[in-house]
Amino acid sequence: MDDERLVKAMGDLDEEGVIACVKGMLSAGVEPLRIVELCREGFEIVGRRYETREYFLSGLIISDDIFSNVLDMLDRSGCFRPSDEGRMGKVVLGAPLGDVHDIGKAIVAQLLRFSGFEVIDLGVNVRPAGFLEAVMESGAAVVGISTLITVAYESLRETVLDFEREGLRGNVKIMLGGGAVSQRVCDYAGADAWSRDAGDAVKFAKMFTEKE
Amino acid sequence: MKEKLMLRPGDTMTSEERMKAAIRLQVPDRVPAVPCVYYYFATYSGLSYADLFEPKLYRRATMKLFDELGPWDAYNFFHTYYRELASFFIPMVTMEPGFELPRDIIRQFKEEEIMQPEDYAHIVEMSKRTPRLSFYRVMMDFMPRIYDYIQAGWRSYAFVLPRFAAQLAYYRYEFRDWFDRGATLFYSIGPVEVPFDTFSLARGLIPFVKDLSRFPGEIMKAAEALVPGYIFLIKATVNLFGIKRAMIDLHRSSNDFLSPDQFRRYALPSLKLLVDGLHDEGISVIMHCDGNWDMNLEALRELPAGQCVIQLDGATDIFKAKEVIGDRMCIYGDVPASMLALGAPAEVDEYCHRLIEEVGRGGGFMLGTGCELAPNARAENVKAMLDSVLKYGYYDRPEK
Repeated sequence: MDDERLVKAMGDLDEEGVIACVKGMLSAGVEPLRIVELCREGFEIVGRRYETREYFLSGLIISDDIFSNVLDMLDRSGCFRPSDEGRMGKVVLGAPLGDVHDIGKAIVAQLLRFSGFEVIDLGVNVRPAGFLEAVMESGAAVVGISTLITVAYESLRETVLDFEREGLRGNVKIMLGGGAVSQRVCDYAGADAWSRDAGDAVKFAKMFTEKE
Repeated sequence: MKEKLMLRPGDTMTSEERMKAAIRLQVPDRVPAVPCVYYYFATYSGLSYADLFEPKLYRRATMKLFDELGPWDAYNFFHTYYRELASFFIPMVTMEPGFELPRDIIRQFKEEEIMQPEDYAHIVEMSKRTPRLSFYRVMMDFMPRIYDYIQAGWRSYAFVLPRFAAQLAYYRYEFRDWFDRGATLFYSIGPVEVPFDTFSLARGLIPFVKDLSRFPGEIMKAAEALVPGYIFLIKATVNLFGIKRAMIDLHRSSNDFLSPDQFRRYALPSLKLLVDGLHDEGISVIMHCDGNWDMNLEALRELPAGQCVIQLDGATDIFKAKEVIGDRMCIYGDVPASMLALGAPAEVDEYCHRLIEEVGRGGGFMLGTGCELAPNARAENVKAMLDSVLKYGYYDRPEK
């Protein structure tokens, strides 16, 4: 019963309800990892509602905040640290050379982490070879590049070409995000997917890693 | 009596008459073309982006583009020669070419909290004491938080006001170039971020969204308290330059950020107060609506009819916008940045033709770029866009 209540409260973005449930479950001795799993289930409801335009970016941000607060509570409660980050795979994220906008990428990074991905966040203004090096070092199968400016198109294309030149293009999926991308930009850069919605990054990453 | 200066040989209205007719949802002689240009001026003239801070170079570059690829109907300007003045209208930490960035990288913004939650209450209190100066005072509070070399208190006024006055003098001088060529000004002042979106930018997106879920009433009160200050500033500039139009920016109210319900409940009231207040002063409003507004369009019907322009950037379905609010406000846009940068002239021509035919039907339309003209646009695409109003835009031709 408590399980369902927690999932529902998370899905409804009911912060007070989530906190009350988590407190109750902790006192009843429920395993912290179980609580995290239930929050993730609720988080998936949020994701679905975001996809169907019932929720918007503001809803994702609030769910992110609630989830962070739960993790803090669990951390304060004793010996818990989320240990299964990365179970879904690794994703390299960054903004391309010439672009220092961080906010969209930061939101995507958090959503991916909550969905079980390990995120290697290269930050902003990343040169094309930086993405390649990070993939070679980490073995990540997915790269996400976020940009808000049109002058970064060349840099996107160059990044994809770097993977081709190294013969790694077949092993790595590249997704583009941000206000300046479109199907045309995706085609121009030679990337695999694009979206202006942060939630789609999780969908693409899951799709790409499932294919692996 | 002074002879009317026409922009193009086939025109029967001046650019100013054409703009007014389009905004009033009447049928002008042809569709007006108003690209939104800044960094492309530099690209086209072979300058670095940092060179645009130099008044002589900027002015020369604007006229070169206008004379060689134009003309177009109205000057949609938003440059400042003093970098700090850009933060006056978009209160965020900026990185500028030639300062924090190399000279050939365009301006970018950083999400930092230059406003704190307690500022909402402070703004309400301060606006009660000096309502007409509230906008200035808030911005003067923000300036030292953005630039560490601007000191708080009266020193921030001493820093900003002379630069503001000098910038207005530059504008006045430059406007003659445009009037002499038969163009008009798109607005006397702009783009001014509306109060609600100002808070989102100044607080940072994530903190603001949390504020909105925790104390929306305080945000709304503060946004509404600032409206008289906005109207005072806009009126003063309209009196100075004589064009009764202002541009307001709504960077953070689209459905990319807010739900339609949040927009209607929290953002629309102060927007409506501002637009209605300007309407009472006879000032038309151009709303720069970045992002996807599909689900907010219906709510915008509450704004006064024949008074507003909505600028769309390609993320909103402009054809649907014509259906939903085309009988209430002029639609402006939306040749996408990626098409102008990566597409071909024939494709631009075809898209502009469709815009003119469908969105321009019955008047109430201005052709423009989706947001700012891409700095890496191809010249032949820009030319194709501007020429399309000559090929397809005259309303007295049979297809109209």
